[in-house]
Amino acid sequence: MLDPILGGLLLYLALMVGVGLYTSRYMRSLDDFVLGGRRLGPWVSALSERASGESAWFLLGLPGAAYGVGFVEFWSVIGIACGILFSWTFIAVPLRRESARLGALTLPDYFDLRFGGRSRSLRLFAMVAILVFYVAYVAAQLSGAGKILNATFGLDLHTGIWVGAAVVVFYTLMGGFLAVAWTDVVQGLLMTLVAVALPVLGVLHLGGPGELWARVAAHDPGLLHMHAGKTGAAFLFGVAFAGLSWGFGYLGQPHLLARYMAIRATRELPKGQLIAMGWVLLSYWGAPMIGLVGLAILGPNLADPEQVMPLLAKQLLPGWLAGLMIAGAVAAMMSTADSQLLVAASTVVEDAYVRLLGRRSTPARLVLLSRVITFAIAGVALGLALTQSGSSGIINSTVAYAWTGLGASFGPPLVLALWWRGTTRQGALAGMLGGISATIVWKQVPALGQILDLKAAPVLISAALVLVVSALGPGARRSPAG
Amino acid sequence: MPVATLVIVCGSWIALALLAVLAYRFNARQNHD
Repeated sequence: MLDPILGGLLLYLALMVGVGLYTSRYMRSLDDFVLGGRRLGPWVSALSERASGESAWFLLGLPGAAYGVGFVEFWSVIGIACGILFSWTFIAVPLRRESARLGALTLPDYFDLRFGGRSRSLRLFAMVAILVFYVAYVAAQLSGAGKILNATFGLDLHTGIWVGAAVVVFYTLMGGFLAVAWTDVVQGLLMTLVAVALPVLGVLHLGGPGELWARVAAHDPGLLHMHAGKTGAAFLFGVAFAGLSWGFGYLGQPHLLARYMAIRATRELPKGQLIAMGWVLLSYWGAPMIGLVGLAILGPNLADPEQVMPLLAKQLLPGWLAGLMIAGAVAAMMSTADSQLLVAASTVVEDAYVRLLGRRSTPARLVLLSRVITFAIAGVALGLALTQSGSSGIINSTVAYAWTGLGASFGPPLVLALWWRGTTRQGALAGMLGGISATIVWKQVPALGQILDLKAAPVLISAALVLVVSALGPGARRSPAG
Repeated sequence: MPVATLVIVCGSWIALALLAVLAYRFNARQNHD
């Protein structure tokens, strides 16, 4: 007889494949593949943005981190919520309006067209940033699939990675943006269910919040505090600011910005923002609480803390419900990996093939090319995931790196290009290059992280470069667009 | 449960809910401009 956990998971995977097959009938042009023909409603747009924004990190990396450091992880959560609010408030409306006015399909497209349509270097470096950081990011998601299936069924890590990759690639290839957006809706709701229900059921299992705090304190009383034993500047910069700086990354994630660009009308965005923030307030407290409840119930000796969520679901719930919860973690991984694959493939086809190389093709041929490129990029990410599989904490560290790289490359140039008329092409290019370089340097020289956190420094350097070069460099006060 | 932890976590959630409503009004006004 079929294992009920496996049954629940297989049902979910079959549903995703079905959505891919159904939406493939709407795939007629590159615009359909990249932005779903700009016809998303506010609910789909908001839930898709939230599900894509929260990756395997949300239900594996974050609970794993909270399992180790306790309530300190809430600084990250607060920073993330602020970043989401800022992005929906100050980026969504002007980006949707400007990208439609300029006819931009991708973020590199927007940057090029915003500065007069002659900036091949800006488009090129934007493409490089997207490809480099998204391959690492997708690889982290596929590692997540391996860990979930390993913790749940004892499946070999490599086999789990292959299974996750196969399903994501199939429905992304078939249905493009619409498949990705509609699967995101299911996945976003499933993620909320897990983030809310699992910690609540865990607390009930323990006999109430008092017992949870007592058990966590018995392991280490410091886990209930948010200062990590630090005071003064060490606390402010090393603990609070380091956690809050996760929020900076939200300013420049191309796979999330695409959701703003794809909504059917600018007037739908305020409603989308309320839905997205409702999701955050409802769901986000639960992810770190899964780690703390897991510590109280499973004990402090997990070989890989990033497996705390599936192990807790198996321990607490009957088979079919555990299967549903574990499908939620797979959903978190898939909803991000699919959007990122799509953005990476879009940039190769739209920015490199159509714009930089100037090739003209039929719409059907461009869709076919997008599918081939999606497949190729997924293959590279799969290779990377297979080589790094099994490392403890790999999701948290890889996501922090790719997240920062994208946020620093695109965030400051984008916010300033949207809101400051004085932003120049050279300023945006300097900020983008500075963001990419600073992320790589900070990653390679860990000592720099002691001065200023990896997640903050590259973003601040990028912002300073855009401001200084735009104000003082060549092209200052001669910006063609406002 | 330390009071400081409780105040920071619950206080930030309430503040975020209020800011979300303000942001909605700001966004709606951006649309009319």
